[in-house]
Amino acid sequence: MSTKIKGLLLWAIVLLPLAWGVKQTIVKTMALFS
Amino acid sequence: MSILSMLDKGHSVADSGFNRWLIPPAALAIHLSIGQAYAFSVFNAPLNKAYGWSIPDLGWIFSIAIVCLGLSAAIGGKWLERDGPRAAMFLAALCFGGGFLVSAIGLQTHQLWLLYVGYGALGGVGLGLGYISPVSTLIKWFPDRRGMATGMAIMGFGGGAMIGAPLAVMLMDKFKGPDHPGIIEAFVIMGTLYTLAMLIGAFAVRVPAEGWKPEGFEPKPVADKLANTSYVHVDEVHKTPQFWLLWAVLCLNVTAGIGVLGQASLMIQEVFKGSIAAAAAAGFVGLLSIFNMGGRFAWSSLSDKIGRKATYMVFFALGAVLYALVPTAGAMGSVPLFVLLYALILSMYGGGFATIPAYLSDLFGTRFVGAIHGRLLTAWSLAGVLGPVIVNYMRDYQLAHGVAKAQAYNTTMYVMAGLLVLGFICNACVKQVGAHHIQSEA
Repeated sequence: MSTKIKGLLLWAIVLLPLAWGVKQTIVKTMALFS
Repeated sequence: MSILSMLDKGHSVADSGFNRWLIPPAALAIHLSIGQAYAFSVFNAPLNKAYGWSIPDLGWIFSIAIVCLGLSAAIGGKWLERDGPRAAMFLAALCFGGGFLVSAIGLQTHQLWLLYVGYGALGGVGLGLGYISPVSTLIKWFPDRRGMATGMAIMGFGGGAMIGAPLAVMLMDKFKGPDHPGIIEAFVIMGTLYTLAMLIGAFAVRVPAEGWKPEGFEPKPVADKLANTSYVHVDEVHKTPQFWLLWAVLCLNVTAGIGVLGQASLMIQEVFKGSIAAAAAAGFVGLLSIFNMGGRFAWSSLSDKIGRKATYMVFFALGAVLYALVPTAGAMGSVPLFVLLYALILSMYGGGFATIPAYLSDLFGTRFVGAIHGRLLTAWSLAGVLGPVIVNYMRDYQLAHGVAKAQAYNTTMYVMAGLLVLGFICNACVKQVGAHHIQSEA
């Protein structure tokens, strides 16, 4: 596996769960403004 | 090659041509995992309901974890500098994940002390070692952007709660039955997932070869920064006033923020009684988490431009003014102003955590920055106890003396502003380290 692919995978492993968590938090935060 | 030999510092030295942008995701894998600690409170109500343990008794799990975080960071920092970040991250993964598994056994056998030993003590050691391991590595890879690099990792610690809280809720919902709340399954799955994620980080991390520097980077002689080859030894650092001033700076900044963070939901509901429902209060807590996380990256990156001391001056001066304005926002009945004030305050709380490693490396050099950072984190342990005690005690005192719930936090806000003024003074006293403490690499 090339270094570039490894790097992309590594970034995906951390950014995907983070994006999911941030989305869940934003959905919860919306209750403050409704 | 055996796993143990792969943990050797020598096996984690990067080849020439290694892309340094692979280090931040390795660091994030660790910090996003251990950041789950901020979300442990989501288990409190289900544990209370299913096992009958009181909320104060359950609160000790988190407190023990934070105390063990500070102690293990202080003790393990020197080992980290000697044996490299991979071994420390590996041990952190086993301790943090193992803490969940020991706690799951505690739930199965209805033994609260096993949760104290598991998530509290063992998990706390994982937190401490995991917290400091990537920081000194990032500083060495990004000498040109120390603030941004460490801010990125420490941002992960803030963001970890955003993953940990909904993940815990989702798992408990999936596994709960008529006679059990699904916490044991949640603990086992989370312990396994976090161990794997942290191990990926541990095996992806690399240290730069001796003398490595980014292409085209020439360290400029800056008045408030040590040259790359100069350092203060970790055993010498506590003899300098600068170390203790920064210890006070971190402790005061964290004390002011952590108590409010823990009480945010109750506070907004009591100050705006009748107009803020529980769901909206949970939204307020979520918003604070976003600012806590974003502030870690934004403020530490800004510190690369304006300097660390100036950044902390802003935290303390602006923070004190904002805290002092909170009672006014409450009296005006202005929810948007109240929310804005707290969002800014929490961004600076996170920024304080994220900027301190770069501040340490400017003053004491990069060679022992991980170990020195570890020792400084004992300030967090104290603040983790002080902040909530001040906020809770003062609220109860005000209520006992007939103050209305909506005004019960006003005095606390002025006390917090006072703490930040003290922090401002400590930061203003930070000067360059005396030459007799500084050593140079041959």
